[in-house]
Formats: sequence, structure tokens, C-alpha cells
Amino acid sequence: MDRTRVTVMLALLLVPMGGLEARLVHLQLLTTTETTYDLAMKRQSVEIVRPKRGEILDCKGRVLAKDEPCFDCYIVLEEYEAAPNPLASALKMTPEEFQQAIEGIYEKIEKQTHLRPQNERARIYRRERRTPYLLKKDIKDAALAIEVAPQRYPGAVVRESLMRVYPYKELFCHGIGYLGRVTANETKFRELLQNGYFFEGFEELIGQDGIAQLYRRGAFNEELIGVSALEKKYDATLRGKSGLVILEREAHTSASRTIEIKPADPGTSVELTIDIEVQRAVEKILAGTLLASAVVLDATDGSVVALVSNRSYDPNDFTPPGNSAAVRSALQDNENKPLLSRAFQDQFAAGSFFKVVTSIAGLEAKVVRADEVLYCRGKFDEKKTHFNCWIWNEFRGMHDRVTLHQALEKSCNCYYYEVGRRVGVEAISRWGRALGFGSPTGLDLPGEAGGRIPDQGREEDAMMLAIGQSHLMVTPLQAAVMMAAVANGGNRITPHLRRGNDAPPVPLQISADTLSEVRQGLYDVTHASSGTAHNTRLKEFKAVGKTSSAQADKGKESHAWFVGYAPYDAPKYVVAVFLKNAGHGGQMAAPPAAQILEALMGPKETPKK
Amino acid sequence: MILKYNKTLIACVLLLSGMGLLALWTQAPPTDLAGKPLSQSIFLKQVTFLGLAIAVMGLVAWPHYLNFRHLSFVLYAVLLGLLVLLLVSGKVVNGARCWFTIGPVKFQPAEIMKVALVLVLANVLMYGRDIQSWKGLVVPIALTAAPAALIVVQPDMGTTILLIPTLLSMLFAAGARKRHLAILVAVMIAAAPVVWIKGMKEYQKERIVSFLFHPGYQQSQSVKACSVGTFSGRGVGESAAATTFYIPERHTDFIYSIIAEDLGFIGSSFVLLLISIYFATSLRIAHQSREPFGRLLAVGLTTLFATQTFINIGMTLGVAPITGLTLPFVSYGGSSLLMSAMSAGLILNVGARWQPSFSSRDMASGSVEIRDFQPQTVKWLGH
Repeated sequence: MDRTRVTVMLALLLVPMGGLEARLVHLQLLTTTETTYDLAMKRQSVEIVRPKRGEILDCKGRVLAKDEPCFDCYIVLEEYEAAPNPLASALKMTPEEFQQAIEGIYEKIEKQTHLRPQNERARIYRRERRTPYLLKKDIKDAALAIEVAPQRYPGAVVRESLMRVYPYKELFCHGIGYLGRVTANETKFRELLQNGYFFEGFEELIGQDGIAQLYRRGAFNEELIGVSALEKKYDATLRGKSGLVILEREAHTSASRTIEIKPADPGTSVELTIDIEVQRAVEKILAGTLLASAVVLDATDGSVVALVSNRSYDPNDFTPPGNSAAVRSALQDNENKPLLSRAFQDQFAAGSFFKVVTSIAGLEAKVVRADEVLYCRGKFDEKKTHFNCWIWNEFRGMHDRVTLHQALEKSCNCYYYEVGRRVGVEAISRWGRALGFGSPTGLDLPGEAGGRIPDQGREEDAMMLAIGQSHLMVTPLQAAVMMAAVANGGNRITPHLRRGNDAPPVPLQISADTLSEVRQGLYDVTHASSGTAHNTRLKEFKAVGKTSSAQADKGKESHAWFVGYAPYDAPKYVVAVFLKNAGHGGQMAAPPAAQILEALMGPKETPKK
Repeated sequence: MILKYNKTLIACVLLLSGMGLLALWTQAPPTDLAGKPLSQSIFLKQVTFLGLAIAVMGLVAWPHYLNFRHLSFVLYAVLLGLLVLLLVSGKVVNGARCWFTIGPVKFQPAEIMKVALVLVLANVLMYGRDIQSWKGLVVPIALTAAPAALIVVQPDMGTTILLIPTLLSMLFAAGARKRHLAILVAVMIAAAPVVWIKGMKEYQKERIVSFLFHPGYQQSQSVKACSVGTFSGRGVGESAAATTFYIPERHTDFIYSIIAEDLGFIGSSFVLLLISIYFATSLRIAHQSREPFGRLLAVGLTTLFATQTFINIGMTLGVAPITGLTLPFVSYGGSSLLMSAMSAGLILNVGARWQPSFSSRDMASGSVEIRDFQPQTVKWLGH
């Protein structure tokens, strides 16, 4: 073997080494002028580029929320103060506002310097005064004025950015939600980093010093996240990932150059099952002095078609940099609670429509037959005055002979007192829970109320629960989910707003006989001459359902409900309408339900017969 | 037996890692602005990695290196398997599947593969079987081509390029014909256009084009930063505090630019000097070793180290395209440091097992001194 070859190799390796040394001599000892010029004349800063947030679209592709380009004005303090100019009036800011904004920027600079070692402070202070800081967002026409004559406004820098816009304003605000700023601190930033708000490798790319610098400059204060509803729920999808650029500015001129290191990754759009025009129609139907809400679901897969609560707000008011805290506190003080959707975030007494659950419980437990005749004497028990049928309380009347169909049709309390007494709280509660009451339905929106259903109690509790009173509390959405199960053949659906987000329906093992008996009863409510909702236009749309007049607040009218579906021969839509303290369900809630169905299915000719 | 490890080599390793830590310190101080310690600090992470690496170096240098000979094929096969697995199930980071993540630990099999390949090649070539004919070159070339192919599709062009000079130098040291090696190089150069058209990703082409015609942002920033250092540098920590030049991935691939900017010509030449001493020493160990496996091992590892250094410093100084290779011992990163420590440990191991020889030719050429020889041994031999 040839050991001299090893010596040859040493020589071979030393040659490129010499080359590198020569390059060092060339770079470090022979060329200096150009780079010293660079040093003096160029200012570089690392900046975060916001990604374009995904759009929210309704089922027909109409845009409910989008990012629109706008112009922001930044200010370089050193240049502005060297040559004060009428920038404030160009931006339509009062001198006080302008002064306040400038003081805000100085505060930020102060924050950066005060923790640094003494010897660095002056340098950082100088550097930051040469850094553009955000002065005003969305400056509209002023952008053109500054761009056209930059020499008139030294220190002003106009940059393009994005602004969240909700074109439909108040419409469906409870579903869409709004954005807010993240108050950045180190832990929050780490959390964002871990949740994938920045691209992978962000930390490695920019280095800790880079992060610290951005952090100190308040770059992460500007992070926008979804604060409520869909904007919050699908924030990770909508948001996209921030990019990084280097901004290189020539000192004393406004010439600048951006060098893209990592492009921003735009967010993904979210398509909804909502039809915004139906939503608009339903909101119009429910407009008025009464507090109301309505839910329209697809009976088979749980898609939400409309979700209405008739006191609303404009999510555009919350878009930063607006004073969202003031907007929010004003809305919170409003007695009608416009921030809250009564369709799924608030719960109410249910009343008679819960008799559907009691019927299913009774029939499935076989404690009562559909054709079994019970007698309503107006009063269930002479001694217990609070167990009266509504017909006694109002007309001192009685229903006399009632079967299940008639009990549903006429909403007879005495019949259900008896059924409740026979079947007990546990069985009713079990069916109630199975059909969607007592816990959130799983709608893909944050803050859903769960309602309340008693799980056990004495005989009297069972009787009260049987007619939907007692401690039972429900949301209109839960009522719709229950009715959907009746409509679609006994499957519990999960309501959802995002298209394609369907959870498979859960079969509840309700026997076909039970379902057909209950459906017949619901048919009679709207079609039979003594049905509680018979003289409405509901039958034009082949709608069936159950009314409810739930006693809630002492001394006030009862809550009016109508929960039903249409058409009865091929169920498509489930509609739940709720009016707070409005009166009788048949009078108050059934007519708007018919109007909603008209909006959904188009107007029908005058009813036959 | 007390082993004599080469102190020069150890000193070079420690000084190089020290320079790396110094540069990292300026980029990422171990405390935050309020003076609280930062658990995430890459400086502290690197100190931990360095501790581990030194332990690994000791472990690798301890048992006789011939033990690794028997392990080499196993190690090679396992790593080849890991590389395949990585392509199938690896997570994409910055567009490449290079990393395995096991709990909190991330590692790059390609880094360890470099060392494993040298071990396997030394094993195959040690007897110089058929080395003078084309037949004898087939096996080593195939052994190199397999990992090279797996690494190039990750895609990690830089590491793949390293394997080629390593193979050539080991063939050369094993006694292959110069004519054969020249033909191999010629074939590779001829194949380059094919690779360019078929094999390269768009971004890789872009890197090379931009290197040749208009240097990219990262590189031009790095070159400027280096030249700002001039003779004596801007002072330790100045580059970070002033952030005159923002260089992405400065603490890994472009760490040499920190040294050049902060410590100037003196500091950067010192690093070059350390590196030169490192490979001169390790080639001296190769030269002195009487045992072909050890010699080939030392030659292969030295070439690996030297090539990686040339490419890394070359790209920092703007004379080589950007490849994403780290600077051994200096750059931030656990896998890189571990690989460097393993190869240093193996070279130390070879150096410590040096046996004097009594061949008349060696005695005559004076390349062997018998000063270290124990009298008892001589007496025993005399009997």
C-alpha cells in the first residue's frame, strides 16, 4: 500500500485552504469602501408580513367575511421631527389625536430601551427613531396625497395592508363573529408559535435575537385572532401563516426595498351551510319589539340553514384598530344582550313541545298505547290546583276523551300528567337527553348553552317534566335537533355550520310505530280543525309541528314556541321559532314559522279546501 | 494500557467549538432582557450538545477501533433502513425530509451516515482486493451510491456532494489507479448536465444560477458582513447588537460570518489555521498508521471534514453556492456536532494505537522513531 499518497492528499487539501485565506485577504483587507457606504446609508429591519385571512362564504359562495386591501400610514420620527409638516391634517387627525399617537410611539421606543444596558440605550434610541412606526390605519384618500408628493411629508411612509370587512354587517353576526388583537407577551407568543400561527422553522430562521427585537417593537401586538363565533372556531384554518421580509431603507430618502425571506401563506376559506338570503329573510320576519330567535336545520344531515337571534351588532365595529373595548362594553350594557345569540347561547323554559319527548318515552316504555283513551276533566286532581289543564285555566273547559293524537293536537296537559306519572322522571330524562336536551348539541360555534334537564325526582316532578315545565331549560337549537330526529326517522343529528363537517347521524332506536303515531299527532296540530296551530298558513307548506306556551316569568306573558318540520311526506327543513314573553305559541310563533317556510320554499297558492 | 491521544487534535476540537460558542453567545444570550435565564436559549442547548459530543468522542476513542470494523456493516445497514423510512414517513421541514423526531430529540440520519459510510468503505478497501482493476471499484462505488441516492431525494444536495470526494480520496489512499480515478471524475463531470436537467429541484438550480450570476440575498449579506470585519473586527457581540446585516440562519450555516464580522481577519484566519492544523494532524495519523483499516478511516474522515469545511466557509465568503452544510464543531446543531465528535474520536483512536515498525524501509526513510519504545518489550522480543 502506498503511504506516500497520504502526503499527496495533504497537499491537495491545503490548496483550497490557501484559496479561502486569499479570499479573506481580498474581502477583509482590500475591499472596504463599498460596504462602509452601505453601513452609513442603509437601514434594515425585519418585519412580519400578515397573511391574507381566509374568507367565510355562505352555501352559494357569497362572501360573508373577507380581507380587503387598505393603506396604513407609518411615521419615521427622526425625519418627521427634522422637518415638521402638515401630516396630521392630511390624515384628518386633530392635533390632539396626532400628539397622542406620537406619544404612543415614544412609549413603545421607551419600552425597548429601558431594559437594555446603559451603553446600548442611546444607540437603540437612535435606531428606533429611524424605524417606521404605525401612525394610522386605513388612511383612504390621504394615501394618494402622500404618495404623490412625498417631499411634502418627510417621515411619512404609506404601506399597503389588509383589513377585515364583513359586507353583510349585522346579518348573521352571531355566527360570523369578529377579530381582536392578541395582547402579546412572551408566553402568549410561545403559545401562538406552538399553535402554528407562524410558519415552521420561524424561530430558527429569525433567531432569538430577531424574535426579541420584533417582540420589543410590538410586532406581535398586532397579531389578530378570531375572538368569537366562526372567526374563533376556525381561526387556525382561516388565519394562514405570517411571512417575513427585510425592509431596507436608504436614510434621508424614502426609497425602500423589501426583500422577501419567507412569503406569507394565505388562510383557507371556510364554506358554510348557511344561506345568507334565507338568513336575511328570517331576520326580517323576526324583526320587532319582541325578543325572538329561530333555527332552520336540514332535517337529514344537520346543516344549519339559518340561525337567527333578533338583536345584533355590527362586527365591523370590532375590527382593529377601532376601539373594540368601548363597543363591547356598550353592547354588554344593553339589556337585550345583543352579543348573545338566543338561538344557542341562552336557555329558556320549553313548555308543550316537550310533550313529543314524553310521548316517545311513554310509547317506548309501553306504559300507554296510542289508541288508549284517557279523560281530561280540566283538573287532574281536585286537591292539587297547579296540575290543571290549560283549557281549564283559560276557559274553565275540559278536553274529555283524549288519545295520544288528540293530546298532541290539543296540547292536553292532563293526558301527559298521567303519562308522566306512569313513566317517571328517569325515562323522560333519558329520552330527553338522547334527543338532544341537557347538553350542548355539538354545533361548531363556541359558547353553546347546554340547557338543563332533571335526571330524577318524585312523581310530581315527572308530571311537570312531562309537559315541559319543571326545571327543564332548553335552547331553540336543541328543540330543532329533537324535531329533526322525529322528522328523519329517529336519527340524532349534529348541527353544523361548516360545509362538509357532518358527523354521521346516530340512530336512536325509536320504533317505527312510535314515530308514526307522534308524526300523526304533529300533523293534526297544523291540519285538524282543533289543532293549536290549525288556522295558520303552515298547512300550505305541508308543515307539521308542535306549539308551546311555556310559563316562565311570573306576571309576564309565556314564551311562545313553534317547533316543526316540512314537508311532512318528505321532511327537508326543521324550523324552531321562539319568542320571549310573547304569549300563545299557536298565535305568536306559528305565523312567523309559516313565513320562514315561505322564504325557504317559495310562496304557495291559496290552500285547497 | 495507557493510550496516548493526540493532544493537538483535541486542542483543535476544543478551540473550534469554543469559537462556535462565542459566536452563538453573541447571537442568543442565555438570559432575556430582564436577566431571567432562557430555557430555550440555543446557546445553552449548544453547551449541552457539546457536553454530549465530548462524551461521545471519549466513548468512540476508548475501545480499539478495529471493533468498529465488525460493526460497520450493521451500522451502515441500519442507517440505510432509517433513510428509507425517512422518505416514507418523515416530516417535511423547510421542504425536505431530513429529520427524525423522537420525543424532544430530532436527529438527521444523513449526518451519522457519513461516518458509517467511511467505516464501511475502509472495511471493504483495507485489503486492497482488485483495487487496481475496475472490478475492485464496483463494490465501493455501489456502497456510496446507495446512501447518496437516498439523501439526494430528501432533498439534501450538500450532504450528497460530500460523499463523492470522500469516496475518491479513500480509493486513492487504498491504491487505486490514478487513471481510473481520472476517468471516474470525468464521467461525473459528464453526467452533471443530466443531473441538472433531470435530478435537480427548481430551488437548487436557482441557488447555483444565483451564485454564478447574481448572488442571493443571504449570500451577499454574508459577504458584506465578512468584509465589514476588516482586520481586527467590530468587536465581540457587535454584529448582533447592531444588526447591520440580517442573515437568515446565521447561527447554523452562516456562523463563520459572525466570527468574520466580530473578530475580523485575525479571528477568521485563526479558525482557518485551526482547521488546517486539524486535518494536517489527522492525515499525519493516517500516514503513521501501519494498519490499512485505520489509515483509510483517518483519510476518509479527514476528507469528509475538509470538504464540508471548504464548502461551508466558501459559501459564507461567496465563493461556493449555498448548500446548507454546517461548519463542523462551530455551527449550532446537535446532529452536526455529534457527527464531528464521532469522526474526531475515531481519528484519535487510530492515532492512539500507533505501533512502531521495524521494517528496514521505514527505518531507512526515518519516518519512524523508536524513542517511545519500552525496553522490556525489546528484551522480550530478543528472546
